[in-house]
Amino acid sequence: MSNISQVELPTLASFELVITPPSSVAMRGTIAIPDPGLLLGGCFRRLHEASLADGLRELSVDVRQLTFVNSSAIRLFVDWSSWVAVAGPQGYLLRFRTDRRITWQRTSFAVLQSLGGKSIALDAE
Amino acid sequence: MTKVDAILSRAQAASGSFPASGPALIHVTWDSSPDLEQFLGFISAYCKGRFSTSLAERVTLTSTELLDNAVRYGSLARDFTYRLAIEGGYVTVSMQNTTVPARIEMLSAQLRRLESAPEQVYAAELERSMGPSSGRRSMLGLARIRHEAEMRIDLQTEANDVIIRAQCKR
Amino acid sequence: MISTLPSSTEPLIFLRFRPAWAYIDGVREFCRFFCETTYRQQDLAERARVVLQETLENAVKYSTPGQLSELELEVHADRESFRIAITSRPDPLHLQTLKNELSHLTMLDPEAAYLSAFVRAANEPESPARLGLARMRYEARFELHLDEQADGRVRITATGKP
Repeated sequence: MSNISQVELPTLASFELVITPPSSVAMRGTIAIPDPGLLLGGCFRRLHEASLADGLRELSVDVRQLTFVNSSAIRLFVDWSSWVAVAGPQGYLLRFRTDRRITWQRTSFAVLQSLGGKSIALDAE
Repeated sequence: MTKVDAILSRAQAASGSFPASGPALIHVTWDSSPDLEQFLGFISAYCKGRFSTSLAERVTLTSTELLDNAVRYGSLARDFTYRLAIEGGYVTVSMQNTTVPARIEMLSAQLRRLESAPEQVYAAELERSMGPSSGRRSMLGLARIRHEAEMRIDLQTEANDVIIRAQCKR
Repeated sequence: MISTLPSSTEPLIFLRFRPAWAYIDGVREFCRFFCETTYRQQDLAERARVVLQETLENAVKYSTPGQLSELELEVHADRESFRIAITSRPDPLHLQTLKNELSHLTMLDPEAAYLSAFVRAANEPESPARLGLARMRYEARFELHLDEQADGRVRITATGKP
């Protein structure tokens, strides 16, 4: 059983995270809670470490149904991008699947990609 | 000062019979018919966070009936203003729109009847509301505010602007 | 259709409430819904939602405790502009941070400021994100203005074009 399939999922009323092994994650709902890092930061970190442990070449993160987030939640994606950048050639490509009609996704992930270099890919649909 | 505040201030200065409202908690103006369901959901949640359970129910009921009446009868100038305020020991809910003199007179007459015999008028309106005409529903709303929510009701008018205010001790 | 009401000085929405996180979702969604149904502009409603979330969060997080610390939210609209204003009583340390942030932000265009905020967040993983102000300017396309009032309260006004 892959490491990523064993990552504990967060419990949050307005948000759902679904893992489809071996290398896909989907997020749905909204994140507008105070300090989402406390509830979700650890989960994102575990997903990152599991991806490394599984030797993934690419992890797909589908956020098309994540319709609204606060800026503290955007920070979580910044952190994740930083971890992947630090992992370098030993890491994986972090691919975000986004909906270009959703403004926060259009603006934030474009910036992340421009900062993340080769470790970040963006599929804007 | 908003238009509603100005009208109420002049009314208070003229009559002194109804305690003046203080700073608003909620003041919303629409230039078309308000979408009631969403707004009333917000009002209900706000009141639950602000007031005791009993008072929250009374304020929500009053808000529902005032808004429903305003939307049902529309507004000549397409303006609707809802206001919720506290001053000292009183909570005031008011609704402003513009209407025709005949409607104002009908409201005034109903309020006089309500003031004289709230329980009897409430029972009569409840019975009448079971009839086919939708016009009867609007008078039940005022009767519910007076009898169920136990609010005093006041009518202020200036030209075609009408403000119905309901007030109770906090 | 932006408001056709004759006066643009009166707010269309005024709300007063305690600086509690529990109010944010309800206030945000009511105001967003009001914009969407009143103006029939989905884009404006979504932009307003971002501004409401970020300004309310800041106001709630950094309000000084006590009876005098109620927040006031106003929404004004006319054909030329759409304005959201939050009045609060922030703690003095946060106020100075906020003023410094705004001063720094407005030296850059919105996109550059947003990029700069992301770089800072990436380089300072243990510090607060502080992406909200830049986000309002870039994503929501609202400009920000801060007024200090005589009674010690602070009013942040976000202004955008409809």
